[in-house]
Amino acid sequence: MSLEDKFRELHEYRERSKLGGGTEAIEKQHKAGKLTARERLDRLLDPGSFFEMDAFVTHRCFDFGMEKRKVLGDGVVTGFGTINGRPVYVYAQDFTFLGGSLSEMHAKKICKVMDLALKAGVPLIGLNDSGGARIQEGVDSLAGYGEIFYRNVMASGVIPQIVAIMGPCAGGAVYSPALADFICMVRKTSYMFITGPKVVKAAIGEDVTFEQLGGADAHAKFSGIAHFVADSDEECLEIIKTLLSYLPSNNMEDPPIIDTGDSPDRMDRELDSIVPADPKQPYDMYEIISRVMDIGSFFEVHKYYAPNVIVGFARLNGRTVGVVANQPMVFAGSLDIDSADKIARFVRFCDCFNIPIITFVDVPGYLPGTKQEHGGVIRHGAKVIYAYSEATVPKLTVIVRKAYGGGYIAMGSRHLGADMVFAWPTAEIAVMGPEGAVEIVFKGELAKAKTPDEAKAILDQLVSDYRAKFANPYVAASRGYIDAVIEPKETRPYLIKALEHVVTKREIQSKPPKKHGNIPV
Amino acid sequence: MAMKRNFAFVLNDSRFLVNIEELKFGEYKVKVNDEEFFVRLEESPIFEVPQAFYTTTPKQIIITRPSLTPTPSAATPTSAIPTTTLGVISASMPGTVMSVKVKPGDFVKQGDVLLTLETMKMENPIKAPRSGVVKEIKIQAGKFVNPGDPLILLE
Repeated sequence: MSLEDKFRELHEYRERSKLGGGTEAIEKQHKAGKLTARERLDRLLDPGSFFEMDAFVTHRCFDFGMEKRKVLGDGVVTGFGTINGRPVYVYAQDFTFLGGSLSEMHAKKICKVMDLALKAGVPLIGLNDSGGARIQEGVDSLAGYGEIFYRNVMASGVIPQIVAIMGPCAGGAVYSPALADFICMVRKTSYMFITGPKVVKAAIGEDVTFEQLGGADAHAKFSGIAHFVADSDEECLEIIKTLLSYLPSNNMEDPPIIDTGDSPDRMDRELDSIVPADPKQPYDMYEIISRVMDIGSFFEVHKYYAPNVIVGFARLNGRTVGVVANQPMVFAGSLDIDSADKIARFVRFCDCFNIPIITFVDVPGYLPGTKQEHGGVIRHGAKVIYAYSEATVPKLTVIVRKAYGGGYIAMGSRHLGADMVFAWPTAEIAVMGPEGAVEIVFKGELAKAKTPDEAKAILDQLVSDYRAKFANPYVAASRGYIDAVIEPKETRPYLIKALEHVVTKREIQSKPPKKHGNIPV
Repeated sequence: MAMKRNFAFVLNDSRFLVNIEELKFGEYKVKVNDEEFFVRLEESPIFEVPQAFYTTTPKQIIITRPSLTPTPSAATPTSAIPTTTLGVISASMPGTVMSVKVKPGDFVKQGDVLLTLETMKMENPIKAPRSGVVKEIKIQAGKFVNPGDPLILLE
């Protein structure tokens, strides 16, 4: 074989490897409204930055006629490249070959980039589009899943792991994305579930469609599995790029600082009139977040899940921060099972990756009822306390209005280690709301009333006394539980100054050595 | 891939030649006569009206406009938005109806308050998701409703 032939052979190999499952299958993929694995990587990564690895890997299964069905790459494209100039490792499952099914070798390719990403301290991005285990390979395929899960766990908290679900993801396959940090699902073309509609029907007689059971909206709204949803493959990839722009590459790095062009001294006067004087009137917490953070920088996570609280990334004078806030427009901003999970997971992510946490508090307490209590609101709610207490990143808290009882403590209070706590003049920091408190404290006096009218008059008077005495920020300020009472419009400059003065923080509190804590999961 | 477009127009008797070059999605180099500006469009889930910020050094304009993807925030916050199917406005949260502000036959504009629903001691205004005529009122003040219960039929 001449030298020329040797090079030609390589070029032929390369050409073949690019085809995946063949032109017909590629056409089918496009007809389904999906891009191919390679097209997705082209759009995700900076032009020309992708370096492929293991392009010539094939499976080694000889059962069920599989020896005749081989393509180079074995249904997954792996390698590395850059996004906005920053390195990432990637894998993209190729649905065009055997439905992107996961074989022993397919899994080995994924594990290889996972190992490299972890060693190098570089984010891992997975683009999932796979029918599941390659059944012909039996336990070898299952072993592959296990190896991937193990690496997901080892990499957790070391490098950001982001997964896009761009096709089916069913059965055991769902657990790799579930172990990652963020999931983005594409509407209509993707679904995730442990057991599909057919099995659901056979097992419990429930009629349900793919979309209803495990579509993007179902997981964004009900289960919280999807942190983001996109209408197309392109949008999904844009979301991942935006998300990455807020994150450091690993847990030893600080998040990137970006010049947002927004003045650190900017005071938005509108802030002074957002919170109504009447504590029974709701207002929109998004208004506050957007006016305090760098203009246009708020990037919401879990937008459709547990909307009684808001979490997301933003920038304060160019620095990435994690924002946690109650939304008074939904359930008055109360905490419940889902919102507790949402906050705890987000706070822990921020703590892993050196992202300061800014909390805006307006919480009347926890949602009551059997659904909540039997669903375990106690152990779920405990996660919020655990996450805030454990977090060693800078923690700044702004009490906007209600901060009652357990909700006050849980929402990034001084007592759980907040570095600085500010309160607006509208803040009401108390054990409970005035009505409830008065009914307990003055039970005897209220019982003395002879007529319902008299009872109401006494109650109204006591409530107003209580409100004047306790429902304000000054009692907490007199104890030093809050550091400053500020005008709403001063919030941005205060937070930026405070952040500058705690960003160098080193958690000095000595903790006893331990393997890890036991968060009430 | 970069897209370039030229415009010419006359404003207050002055003639302007505008050349817009798309640098990447949401970022443009805009040349007005001989002056060059850098324009960045940013998505904001919050502001209803696009807002512009201008910095002189470097010449940069940042325009915040509502998110391209529909968000459940700002103008239509998730919360108080009733779920609508075929004109049925139903409760999104459990709560007690405090007051009904409309009666059958009333014409309502999008955003008009139809009723207030008290949940967790918060008086949430339930607003009309679109304009229309009130066909039927399914509840009365004092009634407790569960999520999904129909409140008002709009035509």
